[in-house]
Amino acid sequence: MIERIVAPPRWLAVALFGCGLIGAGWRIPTLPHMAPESIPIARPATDELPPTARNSPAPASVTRLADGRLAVAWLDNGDADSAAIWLAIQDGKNWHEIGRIASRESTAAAAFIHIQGVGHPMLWAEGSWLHLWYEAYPLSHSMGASIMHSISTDGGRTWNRTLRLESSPFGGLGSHLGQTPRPLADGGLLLPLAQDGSWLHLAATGQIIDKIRPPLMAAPVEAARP
Amino acid sequence: MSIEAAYGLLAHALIFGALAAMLPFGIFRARVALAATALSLMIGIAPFMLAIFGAPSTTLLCLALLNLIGATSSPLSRLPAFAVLGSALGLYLPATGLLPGEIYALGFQPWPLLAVLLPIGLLLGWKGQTIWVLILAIDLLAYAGGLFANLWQALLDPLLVLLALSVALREALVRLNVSRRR
Repeated sequence: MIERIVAPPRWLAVALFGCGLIGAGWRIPTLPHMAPESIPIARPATDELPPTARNSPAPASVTRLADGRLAVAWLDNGDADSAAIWLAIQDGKNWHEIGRIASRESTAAAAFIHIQGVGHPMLWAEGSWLHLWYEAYPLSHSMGASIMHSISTDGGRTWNRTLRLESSPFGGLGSHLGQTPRPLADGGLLLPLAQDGSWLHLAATGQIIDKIRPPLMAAPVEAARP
Repeated sequence: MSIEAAYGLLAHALIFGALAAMLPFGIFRARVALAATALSLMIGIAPFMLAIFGAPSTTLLCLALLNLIGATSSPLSRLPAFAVLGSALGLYLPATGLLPGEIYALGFQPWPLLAVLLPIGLLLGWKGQTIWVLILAIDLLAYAGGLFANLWQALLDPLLVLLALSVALREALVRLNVSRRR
């Protein structure tokens, strides 16, 4: 009897379905031509990094800011529950440590998820914005990861809009991040995934607009030392 | 707080409440469901489910809501359960690497999915499956509203697949018992 109350008239359901189809078709992001941009990827030698970043259990991620300085993000304290991601910005020949930019607590508070730890930071500068992607582990590192994305618009002092990128159908037990992102001419980015070499095609805002496999991907960008 | 995170948290709390409502509590059913929903938020069940399973699909949320408001029978009967399981096989097997291809990636540029959903929706409407037409409409509207980056996330999720599997197994057991009695 309750079911009768719940069920709307058939014409209304079909009309809503039609609206849903039109709305979904209208919302599909336009896929720009995927042309790689030849931005030199910053890769300083390990001994040029801040001392704490050299001892990081995961590779430190370096990017060049719009004003030419280098910024580095690294994982501190490895697999422990207290593992956190730190940021430092080059100040002449020295490094100015900005502080802790992502941790288990900050990720749980922003995304309302229970996680065991964070890892594998990937830092990227796009104009005056800094993007940080990193892994969050709901169970353990080996059980898969959620890819988190966070943005800073003030040079890394504050980070907001921390979101989980839904990159796999397995919820929070998805694939890990790969190594180096590749910039695109339209301001977008190809974000590498470790699993089977897939790439997430991101818009300049960080939104996923496609997921591609290597055969469809453009030629790799030539890396150069700064 | 992002809208996606808030949706995921509240939806998982409601799903947990709907699970509790399936227990035989008689006239206390509604109160137990409400208490379970609140409890899942307070003691961290919903954040844990959100971390493991990701944001639930709107399909599963609709089924949970129907259960919570006391619909006499779930729309997830035998045929819809097999449809969910068939879709899940197509989605999850390539994602695990057991089959070639990447069906999940179709959900980011879902023109082919929309082309498949159009006749399915019309067929369901013609067959009088109004609830399923409405659920599909809500899935599409949730995607259109930007709640999901991938259309598959609105349609299917691991918990829904587990639910469909339990329905299919229960159906198989019932049939087995009936055939033995004959």
